[in-house]
Amino acid sequence: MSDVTPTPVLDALRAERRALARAVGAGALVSLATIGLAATSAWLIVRAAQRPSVLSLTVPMGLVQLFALAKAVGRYGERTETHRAALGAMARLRASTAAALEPLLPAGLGPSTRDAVDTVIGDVERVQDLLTSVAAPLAAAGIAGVATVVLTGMMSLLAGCTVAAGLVVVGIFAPVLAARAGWRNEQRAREVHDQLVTLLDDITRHGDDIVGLGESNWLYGRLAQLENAFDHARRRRAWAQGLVAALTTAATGVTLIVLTTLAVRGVEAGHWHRALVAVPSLLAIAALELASTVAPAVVSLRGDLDAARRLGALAKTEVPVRDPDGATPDVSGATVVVAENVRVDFGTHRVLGDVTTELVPGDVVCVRGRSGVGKTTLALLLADFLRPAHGRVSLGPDPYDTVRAEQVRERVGLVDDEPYIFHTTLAANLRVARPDATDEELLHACERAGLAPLLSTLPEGLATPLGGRRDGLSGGERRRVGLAREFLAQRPLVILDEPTEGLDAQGAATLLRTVRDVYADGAVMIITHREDDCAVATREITLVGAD
Amino acid sequence: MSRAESPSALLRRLCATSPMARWSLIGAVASGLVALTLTVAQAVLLAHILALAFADQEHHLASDLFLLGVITGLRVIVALVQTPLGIHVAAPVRRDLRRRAVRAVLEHRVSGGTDDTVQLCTRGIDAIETYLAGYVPALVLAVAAPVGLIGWMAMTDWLSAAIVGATILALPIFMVLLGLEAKAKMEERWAEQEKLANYFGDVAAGMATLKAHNRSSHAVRTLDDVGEALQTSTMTTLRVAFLSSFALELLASLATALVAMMLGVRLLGGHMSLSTALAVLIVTPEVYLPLRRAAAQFHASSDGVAAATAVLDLVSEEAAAEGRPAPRNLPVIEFRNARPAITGREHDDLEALCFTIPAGRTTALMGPSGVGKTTLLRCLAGFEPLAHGEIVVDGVPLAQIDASAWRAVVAWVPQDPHVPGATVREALLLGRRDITDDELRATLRSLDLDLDLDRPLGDDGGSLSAGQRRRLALARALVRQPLVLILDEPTAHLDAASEERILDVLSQYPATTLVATHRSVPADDVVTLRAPERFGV
Repeated sequence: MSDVTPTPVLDALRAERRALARAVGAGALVSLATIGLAATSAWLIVRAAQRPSVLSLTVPMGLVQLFALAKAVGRYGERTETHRAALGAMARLRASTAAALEPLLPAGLGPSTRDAVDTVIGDVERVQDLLTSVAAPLAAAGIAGVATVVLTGMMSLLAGCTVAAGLVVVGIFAPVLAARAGWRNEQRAREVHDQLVTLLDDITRHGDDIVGLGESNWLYGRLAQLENAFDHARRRRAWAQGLVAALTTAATGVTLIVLTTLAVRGVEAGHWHRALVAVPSLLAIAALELASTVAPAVVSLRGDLDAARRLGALAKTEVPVRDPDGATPDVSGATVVVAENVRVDFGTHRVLGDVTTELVPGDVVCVRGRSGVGKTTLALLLADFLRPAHGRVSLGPDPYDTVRAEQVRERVGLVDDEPYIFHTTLAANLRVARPDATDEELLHACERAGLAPLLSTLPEGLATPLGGRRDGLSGGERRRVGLAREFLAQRPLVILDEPTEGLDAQGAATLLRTVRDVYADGAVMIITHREDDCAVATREITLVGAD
Repeated sequence: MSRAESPSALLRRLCATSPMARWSLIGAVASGLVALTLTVAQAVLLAHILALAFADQEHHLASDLFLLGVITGLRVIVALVQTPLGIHVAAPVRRDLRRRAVRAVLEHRVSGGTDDTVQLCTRGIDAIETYLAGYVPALVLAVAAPVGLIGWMAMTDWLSAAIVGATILALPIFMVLLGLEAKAKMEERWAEQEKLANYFGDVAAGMATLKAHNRSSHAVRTLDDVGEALQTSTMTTLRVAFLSSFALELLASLATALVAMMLGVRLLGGHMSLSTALAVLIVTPEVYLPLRRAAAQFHASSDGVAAATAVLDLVSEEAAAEGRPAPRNLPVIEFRNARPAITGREHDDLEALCFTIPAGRTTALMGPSGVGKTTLLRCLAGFEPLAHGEIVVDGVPLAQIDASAWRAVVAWVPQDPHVPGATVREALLLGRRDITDDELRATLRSLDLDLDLDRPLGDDGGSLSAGQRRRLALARALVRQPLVLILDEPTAHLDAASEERILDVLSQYPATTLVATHRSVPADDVVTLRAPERFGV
């Protein structure tokens, strides 16, 4: 992983380099103004105590006001420009990530596609954090640190070295410690948290199965076990944070004591300008406070960089299906799909072994087999989302690798076992399949897919907004939406992956009869684990394990 | 986001629900105040040392520096324990709430989808912890620290206190003037940004669907256009929205400058000591720091408030008082005019059932799918109330029997049982220690299930065939030696030989049994449910 450069993130940032430069500039202004305000006000007060003429104080007084104003204005500029850069970079990164994902889905991301996509979505959002809460504080603290060391160094070399040492501990040593300890425990806490989510998911979905045996204590026991592990990781992380905070405070305190001693002794010995006696102490307080923002920033930096790296790796992941170069044969009239001796491996694990089958007009093929036997893999092959390691799939006389995937999918439809519902209206969700479909056509498709009962409960009918993964639709209803889309797409060949899951026997039978009638002139492949579903089939295939 | 309560009302509810919450809060605020006191002490001492050095007065530098070292030491200790303390005290609140939330889930007091519930039990409850250990103390300190520090200033130097106090009082007015106009627009824009983020999530998660319909390249192009247009419009609003934090920043730094200048003027006139002036100068920025911290957490907190409200709603409806004890011997179960409630159907559609299962006998419940067989079984298992009528166990209505005691004597096997556990033994025992391996093996054998007890099962029994899983779930029920056995289609998807074997075992099993089936099974009685005449589709 580490050799992969995070190019998509870098590209997105490069495009926003002007805004980024302005943000860093404004951040530098804030740092310098903060340092300036501390130094000037310390000088002003001590100088005033020497009771010089009022005129000699006009310069420091003016400077104090100027720094105060510059600090506020700089902060405003920093925030605006950081957000501008973040918004722009995010928009670019989203677009480039979507473009990178496009050829990979649904078969190119390994066995748990859904998790992989969730990770990608989370990674993209993290880049915002990289800019707003990591890059800007780091730059500001660095500039403030250098300015402080230079200023104090001008007063006394020893004082300059003391501040530098304090800054190294607070701004470098403590953050590194925080990053190392924090990261490990953070990972652990996240792992436990994921297990907790799985357990709670089990409990909400299947809790009754355990409670119905009188064993709810077993569930509470598992919950307590995970909470203990979670607490353990959290406590360790908290102690690591405490340690970093303690180190920061100790370094600040020691720096302060040493600087104060140097200034006091210097004044007593006569080689330290009396009016500057308070300057190093107040300067150190301001600079070390800025430096203490580095540690939290660095802790999240590591996660941000990992996210950026993963996005970089995504852009380089091997694409499962590549379109051929040059001209492709015309397949717009094809009605037959043939798979010959197809075989698929994931790593060393054989997912599908040497299957031969075909879909010709009039077919209703029922594919059965226990889970994990490669039923879905066969569907992905036939819809040209995946290419076999051996054997081939052809559309009519033309092998898939001689035609573009889009051409295949104009003839072959796949309704997967979890059709996605977009955050938009039911109508727009259906028009994914045919953008120019009229409302009447949509309603007709809904009716045939058995969505009439759902439609009657939706307050705004077709115009009702649905949304994403938590859309309020049942699994069965989602499948019906997927089927309605497929009806609208009007393709002669269609593969349905577990179309009856979550339906009762009667609903399943009705649905499959409709499918058979709609595709009377085409061909249907029904993937299922239910024996009853095969009643409508003209042919049945049972897949057995590849091993 | 659900409705949000005011922070104080929420806090009262939280403390009432979970007494530990109060301590968590007190601890966090107290450590904040101690840290603040030490800051002031350090400032006063530092000012004292510097002022004496300035005036060339006789002084004990070593002892003053030692004292400064002691204060630093105390600050180090506070810094070290502050975060762990917060975690230590807030963790029990989180655990308590999570346990209650899970109980609410198990007792079916939850409405809404599964994903929502899981979100609520994980992120929602974590958000409460953050809220309790982070935002609320920050909010309290944002009020307490300025009041305390200005109070200290007023005793030392009333003019500086007045300047700082005036800016603090002006702050809300300033923010309201600047922020109010922007707020509505701002929320609109954020909503649009959110939409864009969602749109990307949508495109990424729905990519397979888009590709299946040759719409993916179009969607990717749209993403590009939408993003650029939004950046411009969002920036316009952000510039206005950031004015409120600009106000805080400007007031804070101008007040510091003004305080410094006024101190200078009075030092010049000889009306003030340098040590007082320096101490006030060092403390002034500290007044605004807690405000800034609270403001930074404000947005994160609104999610926490919403989550906390929802979680408290969930856990506050605790179950009713204890019921009557469960039977100790094989019970007689009577259904009196019992009619299950089925969502989306008129209850009148289903017939009211009257039948009795004699002690230790088996009754089969037959009828086409969709007539409520499964729901009736769930009612008997105590998961759902009947819509009408009652179930009576040995003369006692089931509704009056203590739910957990009842479940301890019942074993329920649903149609598609969940089989958690890493090995066969774990899956059968589910934490029980009073069942021997021999008993487990005997039960497995009686069901024709030849599995090694140490055989790994995979996720939810994934390495077993459907038939094996079903029999394993049955074995899991039988080893508990229940008095009441509730079985939902126990022989579906089984071959004829295993079906016969299982029915044989069940018919001899000493329990009062209700079995839902669509095939004929050997039973002492058969109750047939009619399909309703009106069937809403």
